[in-house]
Amino acid sequence: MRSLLIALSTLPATAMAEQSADAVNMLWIATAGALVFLMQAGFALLESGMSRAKNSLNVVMKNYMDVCVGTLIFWAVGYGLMFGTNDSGWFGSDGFFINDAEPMTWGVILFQTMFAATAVTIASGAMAERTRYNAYLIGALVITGFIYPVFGSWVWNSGGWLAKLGFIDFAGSTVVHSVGAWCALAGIIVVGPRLGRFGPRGEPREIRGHNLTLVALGGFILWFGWFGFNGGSTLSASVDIGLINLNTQLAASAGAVATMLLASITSRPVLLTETINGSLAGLVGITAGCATMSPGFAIVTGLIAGVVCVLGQQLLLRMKLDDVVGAVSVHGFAGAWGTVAAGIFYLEDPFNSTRILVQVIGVISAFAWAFLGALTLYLLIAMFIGLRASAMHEQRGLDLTEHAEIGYPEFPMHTAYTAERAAEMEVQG
Amino acid sequence: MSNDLSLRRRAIYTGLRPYLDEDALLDALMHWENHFATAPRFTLQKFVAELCKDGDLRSRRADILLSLVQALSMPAGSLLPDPLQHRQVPVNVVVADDSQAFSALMMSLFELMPRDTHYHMRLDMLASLDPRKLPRTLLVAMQRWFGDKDVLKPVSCDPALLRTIVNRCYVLLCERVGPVEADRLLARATDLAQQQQPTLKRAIGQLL
Repeated sequence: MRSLLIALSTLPATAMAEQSADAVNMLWIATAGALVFLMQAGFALLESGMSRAKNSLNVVMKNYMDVCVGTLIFWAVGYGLMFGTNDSGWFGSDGFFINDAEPMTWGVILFQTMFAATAVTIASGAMAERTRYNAYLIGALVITGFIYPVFGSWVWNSGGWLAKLGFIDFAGSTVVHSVGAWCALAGIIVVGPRLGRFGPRGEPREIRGHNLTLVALGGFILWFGWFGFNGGSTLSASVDIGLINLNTQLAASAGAVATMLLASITSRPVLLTETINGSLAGLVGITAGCATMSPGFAIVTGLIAGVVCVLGQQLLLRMKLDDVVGAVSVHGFAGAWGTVAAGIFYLEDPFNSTRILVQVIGVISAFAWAFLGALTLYLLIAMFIGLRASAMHEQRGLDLTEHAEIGYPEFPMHTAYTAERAAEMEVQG
Repeated sequence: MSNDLSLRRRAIYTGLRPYLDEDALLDALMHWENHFATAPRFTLQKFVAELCKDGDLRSRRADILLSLVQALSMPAGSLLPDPLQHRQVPVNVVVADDSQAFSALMMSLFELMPRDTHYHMRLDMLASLDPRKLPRTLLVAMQRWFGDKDVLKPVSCDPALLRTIVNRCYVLLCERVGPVEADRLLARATDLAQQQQPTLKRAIGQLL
């Protein structure tokens, strides 16, 4: 009788404790989701700063709007494809247009929406300065609604075939970053380089970004948001967040230091853009294994990611591929390395060849799916809608031609295209 | 140099006149001016060979060559007038602002180019002029300008077409010197043309 009374008296307390834990978890997921959303601002600043002034607004608009269309399509279709019941192992089959769910699910949908937006926005920087606005958004819609969630269902859905193999990608080095980067790679192949980017003998010509301060600020904001990106992937307010975010910080720092050292060793100037991309490569690299790696190995992962990023960018230039912001090497090559590193440096069982093989299979399947899917997508867009802006639009700049605005109307800039010209276009429609 | 060219052009025109109708004659003259005007005299045979490679002219090749050699030896007073000068826009015809702006902008742009770029861009632009897409008067004016560094005479023309030519020039400039330098040159050329022709400021802006 006494024990029954004790049990009865503790029931509300247990229920309250569970409710309280749920509330704390939800608070963390919502906060982390907001941090990941802030990364969009980081991307916008970084990509805009690395573009010429005449295209700076267009880049920001693409970043702004791909979140918006991406959010809607991910809620409608993407979430169901990614996290719905996945009996086949290839895609989810329910949870579309979701309006009824457990309270915790709403937080997860919000958080995952931000991830989808991160994946899709990677292409905007790579394809900047010569891609038509509407065509880009159609591409973004298909990537967020189909290409990204289908691959996500292979890894983050408990029924996914890669998940069943034991593939490790804690916060998405491959699922988010590499998938986004392989789509970007397909995009820059189809859209082609900017006018005059390569000389007659194929030598790359430098096209400097218009504001490197924005690039640095964008880098800081991305780094800050990454604590939500990786830390939030626990999907609960757990003590694991400490190690995850420490690893995140260490890898980012190591990535930047690696690029600096590489520049010094090869007697090249230490460029701000390269250094920031190095830190971002470190962040991308650690994203897969941030929860399952010791801090020492996180540093190694970041260091190598920084080197991979620099060499990857050089490889792309040799292949005459024009990636304006270095997105393919930062998110693609460093993401692939980080995913393999998550298998190599796995905390409980490092250097296990079977696990490493699974990681390699995951990396290859991500490339095959995302690259070929996006290549088909962009080729279709190019064929039926038109992906590349006209030479006239490239001459005028996409700010003026796509939005009838210019980024710095009151600044004296040496350009033939002034605020008055933008106003005229606005009036003419 | 320019007078000498005009004289030789008249000689070529006089030599070919009995064999070609007016349109074919002007085409042949432009071909000569673009490819043979500054070449040594013995290349005249090659010019005639290209001219007579098909059609009725093939059998008259020797006659045409003889006619040209004779015309080139004739005194100036015996030659027919320069057909291109003759075809220039009369002074009393009002040429639209767009066309004047086009001339001013293009000439400013080429004036600002470094010597080496200038030389290559003239060749690039000459090669890019498509006779099927351009009105003959504009084609002739541009070929003359690019061919012998004469001024670009304003020719009345659709503004959209002029914009396309400016853009074509920008694209070639991007390929030749890179987009950053191309943007800089275009901006400076716009400034220069607008300073030199303040009344055409708006028209110049509309070409960009």
